[in-house]
Amino acid sequence: MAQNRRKKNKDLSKKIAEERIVILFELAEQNFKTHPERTKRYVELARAIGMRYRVRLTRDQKRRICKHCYSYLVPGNNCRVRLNDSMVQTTCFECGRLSRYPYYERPENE
Amino acid sequence: MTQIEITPAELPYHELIGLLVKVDSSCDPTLNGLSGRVIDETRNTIKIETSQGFIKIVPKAGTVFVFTIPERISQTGRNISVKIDGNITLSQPQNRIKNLKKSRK
Repeated sequence: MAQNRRKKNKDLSKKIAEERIVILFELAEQNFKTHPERTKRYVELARAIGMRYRVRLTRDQKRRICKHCYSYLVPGNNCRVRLNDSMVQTTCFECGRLSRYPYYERPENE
Repeated sequence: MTQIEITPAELPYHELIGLLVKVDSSCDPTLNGLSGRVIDETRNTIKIETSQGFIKIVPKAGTVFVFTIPERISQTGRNISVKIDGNITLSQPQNRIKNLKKSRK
């Protein structure tokens, strides 16, 4: 019983952590043009929450952040996205570094 | 994408940034009645941007806040005002969820 309650609590805190990360990413997007310094702070908080409660960022969220300087990336504004060698290559204009994510093309007959 | 719903009970452990807030009562009487949007949070303070564009830093300790959960993420589909004692939110924003466990013991 006691163990059950602990497990339930843990789930709830993870659920709240996930929701808070989603909210912070939305706010980061909204404030990107008007208040870039706030965007930086919100991304910092989202990562801090994720690390503290062992919640992973989703694939989409992860690709909106530069792997090297953790700045929020908006394609066409502060990053360049190119497909090359079966890789999505994202160049961050804040730090100038390249992040690469693999992608696989599906066979045509499937 | 997950549907976000914030209940009044879990608001002290949830994200305060982005919510509309009003200072209900404070140790500093000049802050009473201050309202605006939360833009940042530290361990001991909340940063509020008023509608005139001023940025005010309000201490959490000794202050009672009224937060408004917007209808978009509230349970009932309406704006809900929740009165929260600032003293129970006294911790770093990323540590605040931990207080949930403490309060349930």
